[in-house]
Amino acid sequence: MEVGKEYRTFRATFVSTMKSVIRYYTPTGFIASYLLLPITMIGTAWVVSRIVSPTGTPDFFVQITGYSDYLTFVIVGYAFNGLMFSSVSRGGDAVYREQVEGTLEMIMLTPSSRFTWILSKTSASILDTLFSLIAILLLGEILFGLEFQGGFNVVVAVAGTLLTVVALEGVSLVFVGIGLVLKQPHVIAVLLQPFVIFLSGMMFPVESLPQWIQPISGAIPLTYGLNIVRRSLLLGWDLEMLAGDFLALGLFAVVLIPMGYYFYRALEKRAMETGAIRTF
Amino acid sequence: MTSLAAQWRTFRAAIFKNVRISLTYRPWLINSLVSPVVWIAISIFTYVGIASPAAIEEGFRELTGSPAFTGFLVLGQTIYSFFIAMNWRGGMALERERFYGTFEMILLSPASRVVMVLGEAVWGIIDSGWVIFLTTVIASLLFGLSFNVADPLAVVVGLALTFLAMISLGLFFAGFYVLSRSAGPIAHAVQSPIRFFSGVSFPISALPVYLQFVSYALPVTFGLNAVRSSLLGGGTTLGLSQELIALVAFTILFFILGVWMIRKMEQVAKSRGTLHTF
Repeated sequence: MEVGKEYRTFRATFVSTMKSVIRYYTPTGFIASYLLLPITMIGTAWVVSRIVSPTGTPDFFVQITGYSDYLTFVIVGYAFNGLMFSSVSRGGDAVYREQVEGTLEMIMLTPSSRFTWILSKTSASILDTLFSLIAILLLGEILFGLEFQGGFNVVVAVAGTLLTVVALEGVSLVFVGIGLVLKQPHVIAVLLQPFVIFLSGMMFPVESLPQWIQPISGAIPLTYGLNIVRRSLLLGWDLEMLAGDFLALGLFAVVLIPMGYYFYRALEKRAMETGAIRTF
Repeated sequence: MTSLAAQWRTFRAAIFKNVRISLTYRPWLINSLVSPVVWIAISIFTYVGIASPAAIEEGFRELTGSPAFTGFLVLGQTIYSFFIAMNWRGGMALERERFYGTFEMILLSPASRVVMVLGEAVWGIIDSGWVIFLTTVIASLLFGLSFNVADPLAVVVGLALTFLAMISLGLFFAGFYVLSRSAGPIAHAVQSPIRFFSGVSFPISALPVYLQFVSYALPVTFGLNAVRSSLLGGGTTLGLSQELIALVAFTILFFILGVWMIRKMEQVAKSRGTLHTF
């Protein structure tokens, strides 16, 4: 493997993907995606909490989670929504776009590494989502005011976010492969999104789910990522206190990336053999 | 003006094209069947996940006069699912052709663009209709929903007018999305504000008064009111006359705006030559 060549592949793919990500947003689209969407999503949580508890955060929520402010809990959760959705959909969508534009076969014929190519495509999309994550947190702070009750451990939160991104990279690889075979990878993302929102504790605590559902939450990397970020930012927990969540995320990263790549190659091979690579 | 038979052929072709696409991409079918139930569960857990049943019932009683919140949320999500179907079927109809590079050919044909979009939108109602009906039944069984129908005609008229208003809205979006040149992000982003303002997840009376004005500018709000009242509150056709009149008015307004928007889109696209650029 030649490092220089891999770097060139990564850079070229990254730049072209970033260009299409930027082109995707016109000023109207940008305002709609970065302002209207998060404000109304968080606004819904605000209205719901006021209905059930006009004086502030419901006691029931405080008792089961230990967090004093429900809205802060939701803002952090919603900021991560894009990250998960992006990992499931963007890589697959990027490859699907190459199919639609008729450039996928040409890319397959080049000697560049497929792993580097996909890694670069998904990284560019995740970078866009990280920007959105920061924008939502800032918007939440400006409009609703985030409440940090026990410290503000940014270093641990950033480490947790990055490890979540790495773990989700493996998920992304799997979905790129699925997209090649099933076509329209977007549907898989649209199908999975409500399950992830429901199970990962994005909008309400996992502890409030029925007992038999809670173990399924543990199979989603985002559940651990959210735990780390919420507990470090809102409660000031340190690395030692969150070791279990970091370990789980690390395991996801170690297992999912090679597994995702293997899965992708197997599905790509199948798509090439059946001629499905050409159809979309 | 093209003949009625030609319009019918355009309409039929738009529907059959989508039937074939739906049969080709089967994962969408699974999505249509499963997603609405999970979204309903999310809607319910947004309440039961943070507050005790007594607190939720008390909050709903104050705002709606009834403590029953499950039916309110199930029907809210159901009607909202129709709006989503309309947004992506009718609303994105022209943008999809643009993406696949077939839009220029459609513009060269003598087929009515409006009839084509209407065909796509009607297919959206047919395709999503049976699935949404099924998921409402499943959700009703899962979450224990009890109906209170006093006037079946009010249910039928309420649903029919809600669908018509949404089809018109889809027509408007179809032209607007292409003109905006940012169809994807806008189509995606428009959903959440409409969900928020139309009272899908909470009674709009919970909103500050100045925000309720926005709610009453949306057809989905009146559709939700009509369907919830007729199915859960024993509402009659006469009692729902305000909602039904509003839905008729929205249907006419968005139809006119939609036709204008589609003509404008074609005019702008042809004069600027930007149709095929992304």
